Amino acid sequence: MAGRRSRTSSADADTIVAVATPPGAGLRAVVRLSGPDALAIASGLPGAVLLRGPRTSTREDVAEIHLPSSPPLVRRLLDSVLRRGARPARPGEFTLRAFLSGRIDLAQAEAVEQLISAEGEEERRAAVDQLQGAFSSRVRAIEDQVLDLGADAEAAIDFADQDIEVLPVEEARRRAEQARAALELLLAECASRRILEVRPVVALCGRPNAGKSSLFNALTGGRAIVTDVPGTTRDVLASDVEMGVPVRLLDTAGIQEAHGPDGDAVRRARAAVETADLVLLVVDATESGAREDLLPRGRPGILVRSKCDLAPAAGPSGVDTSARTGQGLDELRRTVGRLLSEGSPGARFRLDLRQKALLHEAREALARSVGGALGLGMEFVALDLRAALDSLGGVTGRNVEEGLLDRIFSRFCLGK
Amino acid sequence: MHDVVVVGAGHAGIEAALACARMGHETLVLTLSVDATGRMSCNPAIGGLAKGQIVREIDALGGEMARATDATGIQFRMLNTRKGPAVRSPRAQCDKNLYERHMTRLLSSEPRITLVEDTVEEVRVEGGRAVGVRGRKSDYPARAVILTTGTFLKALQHCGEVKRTGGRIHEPSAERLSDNLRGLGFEVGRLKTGTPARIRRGSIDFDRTKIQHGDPEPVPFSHFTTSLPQPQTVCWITWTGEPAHEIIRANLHRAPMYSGQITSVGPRYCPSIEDKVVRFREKTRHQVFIEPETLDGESMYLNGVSTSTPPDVQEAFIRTIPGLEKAEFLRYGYAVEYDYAPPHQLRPTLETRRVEGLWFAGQINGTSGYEEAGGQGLVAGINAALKLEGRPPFVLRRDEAYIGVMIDDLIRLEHREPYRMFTSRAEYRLLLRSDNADRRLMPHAFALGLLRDRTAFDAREQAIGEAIRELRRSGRDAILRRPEATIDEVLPGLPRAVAGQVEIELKYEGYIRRQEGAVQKFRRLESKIIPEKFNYSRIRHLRFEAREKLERVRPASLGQASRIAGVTPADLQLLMVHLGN
Repeated sequence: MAGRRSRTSSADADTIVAVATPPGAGLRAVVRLSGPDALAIASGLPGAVLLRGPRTSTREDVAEIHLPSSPPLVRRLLDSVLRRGARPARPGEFTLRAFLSGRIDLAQAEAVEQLISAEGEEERRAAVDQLQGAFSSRVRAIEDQVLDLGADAEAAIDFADQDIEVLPVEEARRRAEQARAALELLLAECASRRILEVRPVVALCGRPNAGKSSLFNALTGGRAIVTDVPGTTRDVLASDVEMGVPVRLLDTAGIQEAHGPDGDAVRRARAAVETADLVLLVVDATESGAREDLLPRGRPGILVRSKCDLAPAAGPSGVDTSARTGQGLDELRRTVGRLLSEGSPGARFRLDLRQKALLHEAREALARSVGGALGLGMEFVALDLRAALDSLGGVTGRNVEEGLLDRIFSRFCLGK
Repeated sequence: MHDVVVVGAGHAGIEAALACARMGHETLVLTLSVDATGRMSCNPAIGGLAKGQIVREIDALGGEMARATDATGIQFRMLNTRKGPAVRSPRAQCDKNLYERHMTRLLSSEPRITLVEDTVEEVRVEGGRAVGVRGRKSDYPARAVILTTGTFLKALQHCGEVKRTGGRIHEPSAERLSDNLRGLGFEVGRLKTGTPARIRRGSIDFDRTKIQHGDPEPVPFSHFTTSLPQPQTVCWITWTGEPAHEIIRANLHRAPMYSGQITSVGPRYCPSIEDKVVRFREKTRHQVFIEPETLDGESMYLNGVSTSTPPDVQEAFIRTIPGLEKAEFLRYGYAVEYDYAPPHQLRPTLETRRVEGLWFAGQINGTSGYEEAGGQGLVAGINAALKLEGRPPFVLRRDEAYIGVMIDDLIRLEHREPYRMFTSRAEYRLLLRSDNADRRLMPHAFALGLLRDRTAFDAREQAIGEAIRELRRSGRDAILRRPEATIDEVLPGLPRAVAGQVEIELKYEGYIRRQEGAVQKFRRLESKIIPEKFNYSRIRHLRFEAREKLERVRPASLGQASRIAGVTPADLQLLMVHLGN
């Protein structure tokens, strides 16, 4: 790995800066710097996250400055950063640096590139999918390493009476350490990726007057950022709140308003719903015909009945709420938190909090397996490898036990 | 009319029948041949890695296998003694004739058991409930039916090109029963297993082999055994070599597994010698254990060279093996194919979903091994008895027993081959040790009425607890945690049965705690019950594959659902939300 780092050429001695988020698409903007002066330039700026190389996306020092996605604000920030010595990045230059430093492979580089330049939502989705594919193949490669080691360790236990070569504890340690290092590297990469760091987005949607705004105010205590995107008068309201997990809550314009004068705003609202990790479909409990099938396709959602203080509660699923009395708000928070904290089913963004936690668990288990081999014995190494595999399997979806047995039987000649 | 009828008197049938009878129910055992009760069809040994733990569990639940092994064992070995206690397993060679006699005598003398020879052809079902069986000789009405048919359903033996019906050499087959099961709506499949040749002791040149001794101080299987009555003997080890492998390779076209004569699936963990030679071409020799089938008899079992090649090929390749140059064959190896019922059709009690009052145990569920069969037989028997009494079912969890792991695996996994227990199947291996099977499971046996006097058990538990508290209080537990420290150094004078447990619990405390933490998490998922008739199509966004798997397996809990291959955490989340609401 050390050898690969030298591939970063001296031509990259500049510190570059760019807006890392697609223009107009999000509610929060991220301005990213990379290069030798990145930390000096960004330190002291509000919202700055400083990441020292080489465990960054480019292996250089990187700074990320998070701010509301307001063009005047972003422009002002860029100006000040440029004055301090950064230069504007050329299109795709971050990706290029990541690629040249050996941090990402070509397929990933292309995916990142597409992600940055993709205009249509569909394209953006495809790009994200590809990035995820690359991510999961990395996790799988580590999982394969651990499975091989686990199979050796398990075979030494389960077939001790057979004529097989027994894995020396020293070698087990060495291989566990290798896997741990690989995972460490991957985690370092993930941490600097935008998709891992953004709060999950929860969008309130529904017909006009369904009670979205009252609910939004009740959940946020009225704290909202009005996102100002040029060319529109009405837009999406957003607020960062805790709902079991930190989320960004959006209040969108009514779905049925698409043909009015604020068509553009509605279009943006729809885009917001499409990119949301979770959709809360708000229906007026006092109206008949409030239906769950209005939930956007393919998005995880929760049906929320509003104004329940005015109507008898009914319906097989969903949460009954009232913004006026506060009824059901805690339940709604809990439901949202539960759905998001363990991964959002059906969502395209798979690198979520749950997976991140699983990878951390796997790393710890591997670290323990290195230590366990020291004092105790192979069965303890095996135990920790197994824990690591359980965590990795949570990310890749592979069944640990079958994976282990398959490997044992294909590698060792066993049996009476 | 009997309370229970058990079909089959093998390792599953014996435990099932004894449990029913000992819980107070009139039990009829129907078998093709009374003489073959408890017969060891293959290896004359009980226990081994993971299997030894199951035998200890059967013992702790009041079953018979461990006691029978102690009574008839002629070589005892504790495996994995160089590793820690979690993965140690007892194994014993038995005198197979003595074992059969022990079991036959036991069943015949048990007050509520009647042993009858007949071939069962049909399970009688009325209104979705089993009401008895029909045999060739007679009808046998009963309130509960347990099928433990082993390899005898449509059994077909292969020895080279020659085929004959029969579940075991010189024994018949039950030709009708599996068609009857199919007629009742059960899915029926076919599996294969095999056994090696038996060689005359006098024809073996033992000087050319390596001797393998048993443990100098043999440890009994059963919690209740105080002494081992049989004289102890030895086994021998030799190896195949290239000459044998060449003969096998040259004759593969005559081996039923390779000629296409057998298409059903055999176990990967128990391959025939032809499989080993083909799949592990680079291996120049394979180990062969020569094991006596009885203490003084002539028949020797060749552990490691199971085969279905024709007799002339068997003779040729075995006679190239050092020590076996002049081998005289008492029996040739053969493969056997048989019908089984894929076990996803069962409840965790081993009662079938389709027919109430009907239980399956042992090889009919696609398992292999005497120990696996015995464990299932015991659980089926206990549950049949409980159901007759209107008591709640008895289900062992994965964190309680290997038997629990096995049954949970059986009913929720897809199986490609006969199921055998491995310690790696148990995620809580550190808790499921052979040394604590009695502590884990005897309380169940007391509650079920399978064991009676718990005075000694309680006294021991108390002594263990006191010793641990004493060591903690004095801080000497820290000394004990050093790898080389032993309990005798920090707290001498404890009885052995107490000292061992105290030492393990304190020495591995960190790991045990962590496993217990994992168990807590696991139990929370296990306690989220999924209604049996749950409608999975109600869950929007549930992926098709997940829905298909869930509908097929019908997991009883969220925990079980989480262990189904093809069901992802995201699917579980959706399921959890729906169950929660």
